[in-house]
Parts: sequence; C-alpha cells; structure tokens
Amino acid sequence: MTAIQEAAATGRSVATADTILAVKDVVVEFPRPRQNVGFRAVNGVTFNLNRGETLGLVGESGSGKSMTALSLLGIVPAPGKIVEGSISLRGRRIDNLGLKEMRTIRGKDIGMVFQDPMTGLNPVRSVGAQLTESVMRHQNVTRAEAEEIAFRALDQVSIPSPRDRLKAFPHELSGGLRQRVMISLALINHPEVIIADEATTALDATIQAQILDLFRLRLTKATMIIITHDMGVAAEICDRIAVMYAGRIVETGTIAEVLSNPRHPYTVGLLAAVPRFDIRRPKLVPIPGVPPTAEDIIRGCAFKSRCKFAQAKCDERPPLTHLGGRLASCWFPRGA
Amino acid sequence: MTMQPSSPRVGNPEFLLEAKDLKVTFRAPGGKKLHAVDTITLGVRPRETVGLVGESGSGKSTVALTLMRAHEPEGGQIIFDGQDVTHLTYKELMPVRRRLQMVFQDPYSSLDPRWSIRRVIGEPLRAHKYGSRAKINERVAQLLQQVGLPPDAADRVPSQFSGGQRQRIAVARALALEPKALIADEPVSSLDVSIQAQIINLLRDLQERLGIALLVIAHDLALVHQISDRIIVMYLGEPVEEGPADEVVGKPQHPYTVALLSATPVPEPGGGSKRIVLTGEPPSPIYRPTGCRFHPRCPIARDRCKTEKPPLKEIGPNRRVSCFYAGEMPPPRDLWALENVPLPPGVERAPRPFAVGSSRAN
Repeated sequence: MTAIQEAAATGRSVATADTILAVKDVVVEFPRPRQNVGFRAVNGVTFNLNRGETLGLVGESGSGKSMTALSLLGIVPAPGKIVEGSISLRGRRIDNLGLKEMRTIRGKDIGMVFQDPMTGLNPVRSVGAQLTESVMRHQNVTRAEAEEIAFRALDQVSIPSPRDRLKAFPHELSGGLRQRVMISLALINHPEVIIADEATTALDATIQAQILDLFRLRLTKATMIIITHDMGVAAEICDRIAVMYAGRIVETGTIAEVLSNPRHPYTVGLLAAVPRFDIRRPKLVPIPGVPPTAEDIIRGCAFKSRCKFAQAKCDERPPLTHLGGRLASCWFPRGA
Repeated sequence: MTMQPSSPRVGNPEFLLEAKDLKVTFRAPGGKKLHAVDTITLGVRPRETVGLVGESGSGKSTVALTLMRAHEPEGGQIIFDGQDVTHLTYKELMPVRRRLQMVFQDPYSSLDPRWSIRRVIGEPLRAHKYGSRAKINERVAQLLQQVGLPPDAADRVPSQFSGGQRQRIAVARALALEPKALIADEPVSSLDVSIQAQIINLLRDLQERLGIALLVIAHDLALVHQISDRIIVMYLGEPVEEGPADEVVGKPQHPYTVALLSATPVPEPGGGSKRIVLTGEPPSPIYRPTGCRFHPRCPIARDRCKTEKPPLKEIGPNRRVSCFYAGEMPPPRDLWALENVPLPPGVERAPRPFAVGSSRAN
C-alpha cells in the first residue's frame, strides 16, 4: 500500500515523502481591543496534504476554514497574524517567508480559487491579459508563448471559443464562465497545490454541477484543498475531510468514514441539519444555539453549549484522538 | 375606509392568494423588454405552504415582489382573500398589506441598523395604528417570545444579533399584524446550515399555530421539498412543472426538474458520479429562445421543441408540466438510496415515493 492509500484508508494524515503540504499547530490570532487575550480564528490546526489528494475543510461561517486557507498563502488580513505553528511546502517552511518570497509561491506553487470571481479577477483588464501576466511572471516564456498557454488554459476548463474569451473582460462573462476563468488562472502555472475557497457557493445549482464535474473529472490527479460549508460538495470531490468548529478541526477522516459514521456530535448535527430528499420529516433537526463569535472566550470544548451530550468533563478541552481510523475531539463520541 | 367588504368575492374561493396569468416586464437598456415573468398562474390555500423554486433569473423573486405589489404587473390579476388587488392604490393597499406580509432574504439589509428591535418590530403596528405605546410594547414582547428571543432583545440594535437571530426579528415583524399569508423570499439562504433548520422550523411552527398560508421562494429544491405541500419549478420566467412536493421530487416529469434534482449535492460518499450536467447557462430573459425556453440546454430536445412552445398541461390532480416529452428522462440516480449515510437520531427514512405499489410518501 502506498502512503497515500494508507493515509486514505486510515484517514490519518501521516507525513510521508508524498506530503506536499504539512500544516502543524497553526494559530492565527487577531488582537482584541482592550484585552490581552487575542481572538484565535485558527486555533491549532494540523493536517498533511499528500500528492494527488483532495482535502475538504468543512465548517460554518466563523469556523476558521477560510482563515486557514489565507494563512497557507501568507495573506492573513492585518492585524491578524500567524502566532504559532509551522507551514511547510515540500519540507520547506513557508510561514516565515518575506513578502517577496511569498509572492513567488502564490500562483506558482499554490493556486487559489476564490468564492467570488468578480473580486478575484481584475475588472479593468481582459481575461487574456491577466492569464498571460501570471504566466510571464512565473515562467520563462515569450509573450506569444504565454498567450498560447493562456488559450490552452481556457480550453482545458471547457470554456467555449477560448480564443474570443481571451479578449473578454470579466464583466462580459457569466458567473459560471468567470469561475472557470478563475480556475484556469489558478491552474495555469501547474501549482503543487490548489486551494478553492467556496468556489461554487455563488453559483446556481446547474452551474455548480458543471464546476463540480470539472473538479471531479479533470482534476483527479491534482492536490487540492476544498473549503466549503456544504457537506454534499465535499462528499463529491474530496478524499478526506476535516470538519472545523471555532478555529479547530473537530473531526477528520476519509469521506466514507466521516459521512457513514460521524463521531463528533457537531458532525452528526451538521449532517442531520442538511435537508435530504430521502427523509421527509415533520421537522428539520437544527443544532440549537449559535456558534461562538470573535468576542467569546472559549474554555473547554467549544461545542459544549450547543451539545446535548455535554457533561462536566467537557469543561476540559478534548484532544483530537484516534477513533477507529479517524480523529475526533470529543470526550463522549457518538456512533461506533 | 376604501376597502369594500361588501363587494362580491372574486377568484377561486379555494385560494387565499392567487395570481392569474401574471406577466411582469422590465425595460432593459436599448428599449428592449426583459421578460421577468411570462406568465404564471398560482394559488395558495389557507394554511398551505407552496414552494417556488428556480435558479437566478427564473423570475421567482419577481413573482414574490409583484404579489406584494412592489412591481407593477404588465398583465394578469392578483387576488388576495377574494379581492382583486392588482390595481389598488397605495392607500387602498394598506388593509391588504396588513394581512399579507413578507420576510426578505438578507437580515443584514432588511433591518435598519440604528433602530432598536422594539422600534423595528413595532413599526408595522404604529403604521397600522395598532394602539397605545403600552399596547404596542406588549405586542412586541409577545412577538419576541413567539420567535424565541429573550425579552431584553427589544432594547438592543440589529448589530448585536447573529444572522439567524436577525431573521427571527424579521419574522416577528412580519407577524406583528397577524397576517393571513406570508411570503418568504429565500428566508434562510444567507444562514448557516445548522441555523437554517432553526428558522425553517420556526416558520413551520408559527404556520401551524397561527394558521397562515406560506409562499416560500428558494433555489434549494431539497429545502423546499422539506417544507412545502406543493412545489412550482420555474425556468426563465415561467413554471415548467408543479405538483405535490413528494410527486415533483419523487417522480419529476420535466427534464429541467430532473436536472435540478440531480444537481443537488448529497452528503453521500461517491455522490455526483451519476449526475445529469446541463450544458450552457440559462439564456437571457431579454433574448429568449424560441419554442420551449429550455430546449437549448435540454438533453432530450427534438426539432419540435425548437419551434413550438409546449403548454403547461394538466397531467393529474394538481399536477402540471410543460414538456412534449414529459417523463421521458428518468432521474439519473436514486435519491432515496443513501444507505451508506446514517439517519439522524430519532428520524426514520421516508418510504420511496412511487416505488412499486406505494403512493405519496409520509
């Protein structure tokens, strides 16, 4: 069994020779006004991403999933910053690099697809100009060669008549096409890792299906991190998922493991709250209460106030522990 | 009072809220016409929930706003509680609006950030001269309790509440005047999944308790299926399929409904592999395709569909579909076959609708 297969089979994120990205105990902190305890948007996140693997970071707003992605790219918005932990790309620390060095990594080694292509693309430059700029910055090619690469990049993401589209401006394209352009821009320099942050959230269902197909069928060998709030989206394109809550990973394992047998009460609740065609119940099953906000200071398990299985023990923070193949952080795990 | 309670009731007595051949057109740049809704006929019975589903640009929100008379229809009729309200003046509409209220999509922009919650919820009460300040405050407290917010919420401002709580406030405001019908336009689409379910349950609870009719507009077919008695699927300004919720979802007849169903990501390992992916994007409502509006994207379109427009045809009780080849495209995957995904505690799997010999689920 290869390391990837083993990692996939066990859900364990073991660092191996195939590990592209190693994230260890990363903490992203924002200072709180008039307080000496900062807000930890990301609070000790650890995972390894192996070659050819797609990892889903799943969580609700404020869970820290997007901030985790921004920390990988070194673009955590000020005054927030990485205060602890390390991020390594192929064994090389990248969390402590300078602005200039980081710029060579973004776009070249790590490609990013943002949620809103209208803000991810430059509105006053043509699609072709943006693609060729990225190619010429990172690859040693002539303009003509760069334009050819740009053409092929659009073709690769199934954009109809790519030659004409190179001249188009972002506002002239529909939402679905814009998102395809974003994806081609992320892919154009053959990055080691692609990070997609809610890449299909703003799209209509039938267009989302097209983009998911693109990920599922065209990017099978890519190494990706998919950030989404939608368990269904994660189930379709990810090999492993990490469920985040209040800045921490609360459960992580293979898609099959986590979806068929969720152990953390939050994962159980999240899956139960999704409307499904196969269940028509008198009522949906919500998770009571609200997630903690940046103002809340969390002691013990962050989920305990919303958890119906919480006991006195939960005042102590549960560590991520092995449960069967996967990891979950709960003193009283569900399922078996 | 300009309302004439003595005037004879019009419309279908079965329905509380009715739209007949409603058509809404906007002027697009260059003097072109944008056909937002063309045409829809629908009815909502008292205590019933009707779900209006479609993607952006399908005209679903325009239908909602036109029913509220926020847009002027180009043609057709709006009937509420036996009264034709299509052409009522602003003043004449006041007593109608008291009984027909709306909840908007975004609780961040639908609540005035500087107003206290007491003022937000009390506004419709003041506008309709509900009573003294003490009486209004009493009603506000009662409403807060109904939507599950603490009494001290009244003295706070919207920014002190989360998205879900704000939507509760919006619901409380809509219920203040004890409406008979409520239109909710994407009431939960800006909320997190775990909070969505709270608001949907709240709407259902209140509907049962207060006996209101509910028209829910949403893009999420799975969600609409959960809460609706009947579903209307819209595409490019017109309904393509309608019927009882379980029938539309369990035995979809229109290829667009089938595609929409199969497009919904399901939390199931290996999901998505058997999906119908439509090519292209919805056409512009300014330049609409000839014939069937769906034919350029339809996997089973034939020559006839390019030139001839299929009528919305009755195919059963309360069941209509506009397709010459209705039922020819079966759902690509069995949405009821999620055996690998465990059920939430205390919930049973729904019987498969229309498996051999069975009838409506639930």
